[in-house]
Amino acid sequence: MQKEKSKQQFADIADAVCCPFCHSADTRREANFGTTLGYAQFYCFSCRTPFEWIKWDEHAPAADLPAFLSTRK
Amino acid sequence: MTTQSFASAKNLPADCRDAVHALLLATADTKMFLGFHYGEWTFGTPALEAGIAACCMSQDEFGHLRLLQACLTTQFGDAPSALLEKRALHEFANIACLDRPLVKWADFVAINLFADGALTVILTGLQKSAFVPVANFVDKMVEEEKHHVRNAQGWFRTLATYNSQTRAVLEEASRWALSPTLEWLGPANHAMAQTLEQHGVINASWETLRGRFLDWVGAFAHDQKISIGLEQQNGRWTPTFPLDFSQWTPQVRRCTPSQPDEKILYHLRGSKNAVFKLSE
Repeated sequence: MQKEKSKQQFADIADAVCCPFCHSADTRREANFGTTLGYAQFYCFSCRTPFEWIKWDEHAPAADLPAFLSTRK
Repeated sequence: MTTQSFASAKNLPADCRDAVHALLLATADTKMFLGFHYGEWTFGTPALEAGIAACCMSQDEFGHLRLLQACLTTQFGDAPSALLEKRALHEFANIACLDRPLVKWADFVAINLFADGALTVILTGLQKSAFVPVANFVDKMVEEEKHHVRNAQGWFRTLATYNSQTRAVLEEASRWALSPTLEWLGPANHAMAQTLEQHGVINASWETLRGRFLDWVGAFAHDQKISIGLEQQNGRWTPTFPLDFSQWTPQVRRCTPSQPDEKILYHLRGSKNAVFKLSE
């Protein structure tokens, strides 16, 4: 129940990668490359857990990209 | 611009087929050399994370090379050996700053931003291409290249702000990499690019794509207070140094004759282990 609420709460934050454990959007990209090529590494400040995120996701953060790459299709 | 799509290279008009072939070959060559240099820097980076990023980007580039070479082979009939092993050195159409080993970390950062970045701009120009075989794989490449851009921008900012020595070396490396990158991009407009645009192979004029690259790196370096040889004129970033395109051709994309280091090709061709090549 709590998790569903959190998911809903952050569903409209386009540029946030949500923590897979607590669903907080208070996360930060730690590294562009992870344990395999397809992962980036993130850290959740809410539950203080590092997690890996699959790169090819339609909600990929567009922050820190030049304009020609940040436009969503 | 036409709205017709081309399911295979044999459907392309002859002049457009030559133009697509030249652009894909130059892109493949550049990705091959980028992959080599990134791979070389798996070790010896300033931080472990940088080494992980370097070898991941190398793997990306060789993955892209595989897709491009498969397209050149299946669509244009290029024999795999003709793409690498049996080509003369002066025929390679990579960005010329990749011809030699990268001596220092700032060189790596510079080619990551400028050479890889220019290629990424061109890849975005190929998105939704009328040439279907390219349209099928280019989106994947662009997605992966976003992480290369982030890596390049992050390290550029780091070296630009760390101390005066790293700033100075970064500035020197940036100028070293930018000029051959602009050579590779070529003049703002040329017949080959017009053909590509006219048939919908690229989604914008070459001048637009070239300007997109210049406006991005010009503003980015300016924000970091790094002088790379670009200045803003009427809102657009333009080079302050001369580029003489009188000898430039879309086949090798260089203003003056030059070629990659034979030692790098020795590694790329697998010459040391030629005896183990199963296809020969």
